[in-house]
Amino acid sequence: MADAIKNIEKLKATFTNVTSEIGKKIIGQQEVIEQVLIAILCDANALLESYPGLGKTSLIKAISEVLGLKFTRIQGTPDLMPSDIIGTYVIEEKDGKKIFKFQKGPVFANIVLMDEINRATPKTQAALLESMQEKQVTVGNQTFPLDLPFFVLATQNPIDQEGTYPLPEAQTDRFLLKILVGYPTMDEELEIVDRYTAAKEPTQLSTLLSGDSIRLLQKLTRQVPVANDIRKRAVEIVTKTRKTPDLIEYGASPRASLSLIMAAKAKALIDGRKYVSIKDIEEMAYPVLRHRIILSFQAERDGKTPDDVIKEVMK
Amino acid sequence: MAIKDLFNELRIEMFKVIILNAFLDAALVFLVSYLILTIFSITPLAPLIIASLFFVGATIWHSRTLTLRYIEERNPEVSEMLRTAADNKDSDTLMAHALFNDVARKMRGISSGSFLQVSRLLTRLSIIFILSLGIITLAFFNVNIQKFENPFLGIAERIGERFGETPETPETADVASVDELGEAHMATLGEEQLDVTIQQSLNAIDFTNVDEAEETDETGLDTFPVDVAAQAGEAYTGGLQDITDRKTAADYSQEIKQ
Repeated sequence: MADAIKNIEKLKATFTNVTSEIGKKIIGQQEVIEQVLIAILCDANALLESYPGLGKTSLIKAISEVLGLKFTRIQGTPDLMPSDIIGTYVIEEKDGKKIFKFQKGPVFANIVLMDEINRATPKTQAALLESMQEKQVTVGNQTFPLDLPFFVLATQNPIDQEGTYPLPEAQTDRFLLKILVGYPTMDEELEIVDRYTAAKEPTQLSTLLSGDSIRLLQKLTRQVPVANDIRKRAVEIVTKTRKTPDLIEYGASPRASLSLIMAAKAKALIDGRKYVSIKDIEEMAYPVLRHRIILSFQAERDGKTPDDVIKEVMK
Repeated sequence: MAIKDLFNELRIEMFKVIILNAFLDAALVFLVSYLILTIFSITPLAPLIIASLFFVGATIWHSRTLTLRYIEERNPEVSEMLRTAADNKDSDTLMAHALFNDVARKMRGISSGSFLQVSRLLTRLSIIFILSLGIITLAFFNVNIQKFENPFLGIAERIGERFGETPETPETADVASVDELGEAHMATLGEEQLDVTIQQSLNAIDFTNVDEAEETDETGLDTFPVDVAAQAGEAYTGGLQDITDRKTAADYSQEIKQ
């Protein structure tokens, strides 16, 4: 017990090392990196929303490299089929006999980056649902468990909505966080240009964690204690989204309360704390709730964003 | 250290603070009541009883109101940690134990002194000091409410005059209502009038204020003659007018000699 507690004391240093290692490849975006790590610690999925060219794929690749996880990428297109994601049976000849063998799809990885998920058809999007929720895929009458830890990090583009299939509410609710990837600052952009246009070898990242250590961290995340009044505050925020009809047409589900508490626990762990602070709840309310609420006509007409509304709800 | 033991330890620390606060409050109550009651010459036992009752009441009251939240208010840096540990004291997970260790480590650095409101404590001590000085000063100058004139007496006199009543003067006042120590003129010794002031607290008699005796006629019969002289072997016949009386006195003197 004493040794295990000593190891917990080192957690903050571990996460600082992970962040700085990712920072060797990704300039800025500290908040995004932290929120992706939070989603991983919560054993959940995240939706990244950003304009093209902000380095989402590079970011996810860097994270998987540092965490020592298997990474695959799927590009969402309208003609993408579910079998292209989960895999299919192929005929294979063995000892002169032809047999059906399951050819695993790209979903069999630890981190799956589903790029531009809203360009895939609803059928293909739904194919991801089982893997996201149940950590398994079913083909025909056979079920295959996925490698753990398993995360889907889906991206979507807020512009150029033509020919897209917006994710249904039921599916967005399954993402723990909706992470907004913003533009870098002037200095950060200068550094990006400097680093990626120079004639030098690409930076090699060190692997600091493994699948097993991440599973242990996920276990510890669940164990982070929460005070009763802080838990109550989280539930209050979520329930208030259902009681503010002038701003929110549809509020967040009870799953949002679970997600908010879990995200706050992971945030506390990353910050090296053994308890959830009220600040964790208030900070995580934005990525947890912004894709779970539908603004009212009045709020949209006033030009309010989901984050503005969440801020008002938390007052 | 188990978190429950830690909370018990905290309760003991809080109790120490409660006792100190109650004691200081009771001391204030004692001094204020003593100050007031001494002016009215009421026994010093009364303030002691009041203060004791106040001490018991304050201890009970503070024991009910001073909870863990009080420590949180005094130590905001540990408030969330402490609250979380208290809410999860029965939890047996690794993270909970790590939290309990953290709480125990942080609380070791928090002495019971941090539960005290220093400014409030200093204010109370200052008031106690001032009250003590006040009591000493009153004792020194022997301030007593009964030494002051009745401020309503003048008003009563004026009202009495208006309605044709003769105001009651100190000379005509009821003797029974006079203080047991009596009037300022305490004693008359011979022809000399002596003003004696008895100070209640110091038990000392001031003989310094002695008035000169008034001039009186000393030739009266009830007084001794100014010059009285007698010679050995001779009978004293001074003051005897009649010759027969003088002769009788001389014979009597001669007989005694023989």
